[in-house]
Amino acid sequence: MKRALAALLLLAATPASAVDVTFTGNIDGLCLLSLPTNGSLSVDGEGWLSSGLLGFGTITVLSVGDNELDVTVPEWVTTPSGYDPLNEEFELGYDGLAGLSFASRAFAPDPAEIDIPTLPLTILRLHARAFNDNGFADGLYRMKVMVTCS
Amino acid sequence: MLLNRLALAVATVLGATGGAAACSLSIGGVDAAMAFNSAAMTMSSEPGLGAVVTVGSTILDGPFRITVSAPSWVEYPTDFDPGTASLRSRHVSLGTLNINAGYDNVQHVYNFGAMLVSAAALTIHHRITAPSFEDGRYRTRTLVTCS
Repeated sequence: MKRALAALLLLAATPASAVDVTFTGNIDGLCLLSLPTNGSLSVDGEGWLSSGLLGFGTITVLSVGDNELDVTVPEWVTTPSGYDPLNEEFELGYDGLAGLSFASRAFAPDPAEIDIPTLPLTILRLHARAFNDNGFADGLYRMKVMVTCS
Repeated sequence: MLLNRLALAVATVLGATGGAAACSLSIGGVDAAMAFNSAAMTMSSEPGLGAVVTVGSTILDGPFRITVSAPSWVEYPTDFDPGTASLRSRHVSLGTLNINAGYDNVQHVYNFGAMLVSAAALTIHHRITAPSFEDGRYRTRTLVTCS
């Protein structure tokens, strides 16, 4: 009888019940480039064929996790038949908006490697220019930079 | 004599029950899933189902109190700084319990009188908002207590 009483009292004294509610989410690296817009070129006061301040192209970046943006130095897509590429040089510049505002570089002859964290859709502005001691013949010039994210 | 002792034992148990009442809580063993939303820069259990805690009580359990803790971190990637993030939870149980709290990061306490609660569902959602996320696993928790 005493044993039975002890067991009953133990049950009645149960003070509380509790549950641990847990939530889990995972992020795996993802990077998307979209909505490219073309820039424009004109000859500036120093003789560069340049996108200048306002002729930049843009690319929209979406990054989840840590990623790297690689941007190549500009290269020609189209030049007039009378153009002589000897002694030409190219330079790349860029600046990011909003979450990419940390990514900014003035014109330089090197390609770019930009480490980026998670970003919502964010715009990177791309600037390109070329110089040639021989000058630029009349005609259509088109240059490109390649952007990759990985 | 034996009958008297039995009567005393039963009376003692019933009396103790009134002072230490509790309801029952149960939950499935799997973590509730959170998904990342890059447009909103959030990781959230919504629009998913969230976590569902089942609450039960009988009249004999007497008055009881349900405490829902503030959300807290269990795990996050090494390079992630939780100090820059906002971790919030919301919970709702319509019907018998009739409780509904929007997203916040504080503890909630609800007191109830003795009543029959038959498997009431308390749904909990978590949401992390941060300016930047890192690759890896994010795990958060809420402690639900009934006393």
